[in-house]
Amino acid sequence: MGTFLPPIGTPLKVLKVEGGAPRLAGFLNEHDLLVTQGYVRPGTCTERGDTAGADPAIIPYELGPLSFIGTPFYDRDCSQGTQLVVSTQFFAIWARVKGDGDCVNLRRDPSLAAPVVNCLGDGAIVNTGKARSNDGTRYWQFVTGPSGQIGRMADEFLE
Amino acid sequence: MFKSKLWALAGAFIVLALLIATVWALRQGDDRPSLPVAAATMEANQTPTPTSSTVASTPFQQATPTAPPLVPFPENAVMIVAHGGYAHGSGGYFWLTRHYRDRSGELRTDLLLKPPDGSGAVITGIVANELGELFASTCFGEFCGYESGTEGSSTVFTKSTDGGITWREIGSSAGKWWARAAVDAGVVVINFEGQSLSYALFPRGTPIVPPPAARASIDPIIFRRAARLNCRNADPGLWRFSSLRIGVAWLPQREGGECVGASARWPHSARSIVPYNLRVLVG
Repeated sequence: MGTFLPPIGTPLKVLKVEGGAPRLAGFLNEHDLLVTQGYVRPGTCTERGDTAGADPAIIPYELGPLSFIGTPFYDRDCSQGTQLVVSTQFFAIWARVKGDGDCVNLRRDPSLAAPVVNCLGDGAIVNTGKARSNDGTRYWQFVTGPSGQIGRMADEFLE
Repeated sequence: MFKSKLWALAGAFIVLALLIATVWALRQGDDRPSLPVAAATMEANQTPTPTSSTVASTPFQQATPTAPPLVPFPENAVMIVAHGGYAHGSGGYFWLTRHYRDRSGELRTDLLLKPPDGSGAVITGIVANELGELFASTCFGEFCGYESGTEGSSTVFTKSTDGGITWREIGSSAGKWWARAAVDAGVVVINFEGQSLSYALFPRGTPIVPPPAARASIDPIIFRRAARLNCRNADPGLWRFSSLRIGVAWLPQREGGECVGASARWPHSARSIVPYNLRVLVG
């Protein structure tokens, strides 16, 4: 847990916002906030009367310059309207679920007999740990799913 | 003696006048605008100083008038993005993409959710709660893509717990509904038809009755439950539903207000949700 965080209830910063309220999409790292919606990028879509640009942007805690994330957001077609980061997931070690079109079970413990916590779709991105365990028949990875579910997933279904 | 000095001074004055006239005449043929003194003395990279008070002095506002810098897509993030917008007139719908860098560092964009062409279905909203559970509302009917006139339409509410890969239905309702906020108990949806706005919480489908101040608002922005993210103006409204306290933000478009409270995930641990306050003045 980050020790840099001030006590809960402490106002972090006071920002002047152009174009509406920002939404905090997440802490990108120890220094940067990821925000979305409400920021109008100067000199682009608004001049053409389209929906105000709302590309994801990064604000340093110390309020340095606002920086928009480049590709794939910056060169978009303005007619696409708003882009809202609805969810973010951060990881150090990650893997993609490989289910050949089916979802793959996330189990509570490293065993085929263990209860199923969730079934994650083919292509889901999960956090994984470094350590693997072996129940005698297969390797199991410790996995955190996109919605925070924690469990074990058979190593053969991760890539 | 005095007369000769006077002639010399007059001559110098005429020479000076001729010099100024020549310079002025040359400038007339030049299309460059003359710079005000204040601007001319400003450093090339100096940012204009805001004129209003407290808020105006923040670096953020100073950053907006100029072209903002671009940064590369982060290496340690998966970003799920809703594209589009709410329907106004004859348009407006959403689709969902996922963005991340693969192991080689290449940026990947995956289309996660979009109704098939020709289906007539319109995704009217996509939201997520702090757990990362995604909710979508999809309208089926002839007029779903329009702001009004949605007779015969119906809306299906779906949920994904694997980052938008698979979706399951959690409820449905007649008419056109919009997913506008997600809380732990489900998705808050709004219907704009009729005399006033209608609200409900799915999957239970329980109607929600907003406070009077809220009903007066045309453009409600509902944020998450108390201690997470709330916005308020001078007359904040809070709903209570099944002991769940939901913050209701009637985002002031012009009169100003503030949002207090937010939450976010701590990197590398999807379960450690950090309640964290971000105070934002809404201009």
